[in-house]
Amino acid sequence: MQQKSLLCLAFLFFCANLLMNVFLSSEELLQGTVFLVLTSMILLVMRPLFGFAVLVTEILSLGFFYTYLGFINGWSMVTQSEKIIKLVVFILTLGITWLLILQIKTIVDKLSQAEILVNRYKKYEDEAEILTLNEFLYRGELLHIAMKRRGENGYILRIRIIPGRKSFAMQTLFENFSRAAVRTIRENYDLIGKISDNELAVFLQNTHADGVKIVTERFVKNLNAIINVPAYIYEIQVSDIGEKWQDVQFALSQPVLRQSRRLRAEGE
Amino acid sequence: MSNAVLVFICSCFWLLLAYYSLLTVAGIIYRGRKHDNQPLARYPSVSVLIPAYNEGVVLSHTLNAMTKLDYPGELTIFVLNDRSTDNTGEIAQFYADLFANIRHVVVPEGVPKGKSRVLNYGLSLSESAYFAVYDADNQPEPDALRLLVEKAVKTPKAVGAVGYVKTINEQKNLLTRMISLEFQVFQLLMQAGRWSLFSTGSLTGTNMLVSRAAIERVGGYDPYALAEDADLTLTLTAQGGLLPIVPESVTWEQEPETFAVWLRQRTRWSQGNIYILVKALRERSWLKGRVLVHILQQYIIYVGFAGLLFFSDGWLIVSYFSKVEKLNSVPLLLIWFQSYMVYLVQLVSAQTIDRRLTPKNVLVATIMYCTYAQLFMVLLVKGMYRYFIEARAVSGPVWDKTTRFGVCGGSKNTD
Repeated sequence: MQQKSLLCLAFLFFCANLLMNVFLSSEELLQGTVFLVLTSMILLVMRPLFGFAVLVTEILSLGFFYTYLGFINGWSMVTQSEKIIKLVVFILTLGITWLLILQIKTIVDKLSQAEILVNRYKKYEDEAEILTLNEFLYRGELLHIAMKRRGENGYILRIRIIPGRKSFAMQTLFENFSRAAVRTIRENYDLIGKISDNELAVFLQNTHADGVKIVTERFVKNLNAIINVPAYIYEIQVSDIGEKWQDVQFALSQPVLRQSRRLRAEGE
Repeated sequence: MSNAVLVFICSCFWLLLAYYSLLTVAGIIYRGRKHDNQPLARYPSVSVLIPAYNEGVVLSHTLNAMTKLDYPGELTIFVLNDRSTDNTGEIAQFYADLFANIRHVVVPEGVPKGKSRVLNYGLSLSESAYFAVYDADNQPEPDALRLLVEKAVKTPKAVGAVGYVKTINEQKNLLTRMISLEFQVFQLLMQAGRWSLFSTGSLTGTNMLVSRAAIERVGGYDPYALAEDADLTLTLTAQGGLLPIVPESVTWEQEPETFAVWLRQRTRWSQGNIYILVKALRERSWLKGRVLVHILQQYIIYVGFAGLLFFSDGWLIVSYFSKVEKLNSVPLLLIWFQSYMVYLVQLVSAQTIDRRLTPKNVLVATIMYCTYAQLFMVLLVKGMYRYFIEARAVSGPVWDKTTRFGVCGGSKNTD
């Protein structure tokens, strides 16, 4: 549907340009084209409604300018009619350009939203064995139910990287923290998930406080074996999973909620 | 000499168009801005006043919408039954029996008849910190009232707030579609523009909120005012109060579906506005500050704009029969084109902001200038005639009640 309207608008844009070629003199055509290009650039950069405000200002200003010219030059009815036809053709082209850009921006926006959704439903992040948040929460819930049935304890380890002024190395840090975490946990038993761009969560099932301490120490050891990272650059938070998985889910989802709110705000 | 007059008149018209263009752009920018939507720590008590006279056709839909209002504070809804002769009372009483916060009040007989007196009676019964007014054919969205209160409380010096009125029966026919488009422009876009530039908002008679303290300071509604909303706006503004515009607070209203009903309703509005123009001449407190902006606005429309329209149409007729069109001192054709463009751009802008830009609406907008908009002059003449006739009457002006039409379910959907 959107492709259809985009094609339709592209066709209208072509026709409007053709009309401009017919009705405008070569000098006016050059001026008009420069005006159109500048307007398009503004419309591309600005938020839709502000872009529209610019468009309206341009259209109305053009009308006022021509009325002023007509007054100064004492244009006859015939000249005024000619100018009105030219104005209508140009305003039409301007309007169609706006619609075309709006449509393109809408499609781009929808694509990026779709990308966010696809990422949300991916099972693994780019790093091997690191689950996406959704998958982590889904599998975690299943483990939690089984643990409750067996009367076992479980813990969540939140490993947060605080790069400070070294945020340029965030990706490198995250990849190495992930690798260290994967080496630390029990394969096919515990879970690791990516909470945000700077945070990992580890689900440790059937363990106790001493076990968690051992895992934490092992993680630090593995991490130091891979990279020489100072202690102030990260923090590890331990929490008991408790009775309600929803509480864990809520706590872990917070950064993502913030992120999607930010994305929505940017989209608007 | 005639040339100089023509240049002067056309310059005025040109400036008027520039003013309206400025309002349009300011309105678009205001609508595009992000507004503070943080909830209040505590919500004040509110009374919703619904004046009702023979509203049996629409009242149950209105009250159904009222029961869905999502307001976190104390809320009481008063149906002010102005001695209806249809089943309005029965419907109101039924809802009052069902819901603890709905009250059915029969307004005692009195003169002058009309909405102002009924609202004053309703105010005497309620004790809330704020009161909101909804016409009996209105269906506010659940968050409409909450948004009005939040804005009124958060805006310094605000004595109330004004929301947006959308047309529920827009798709019924060409007339309702035109009314809807007109409302989108003049009831919201221009309002938003004026609020943005001059911090002046106008009460719209429905989906509006006013604080009790403010209305008590001005002694309530003027019972002789037919355009009671405009009158109260001026009185409150003269006291230094602000009335912010809240476009997100939406109510759905039924508009006249036949030309005859529309003509009667708009004649009453026109008559009410003429009453205000005359009142402005003797109210000295209205001639300063923000209230002067309102007054000038009224005079621009009812004197300036109307005069220029009469002149423009007169000139067109005269030039058709004589050779005056050969005067090249003023580009009349371009001015006419520009006024058409300003009107069309306003309509298209309002549709764009409301995400209602459809080929059908654009088509209707293109014909409105030469059809619907021209009827303004008829309304003005009729309004003036009725004003001068009824000004002599002892009992005051006659309240010409707008006829309601049957409500089709789910007609809020847009095409």
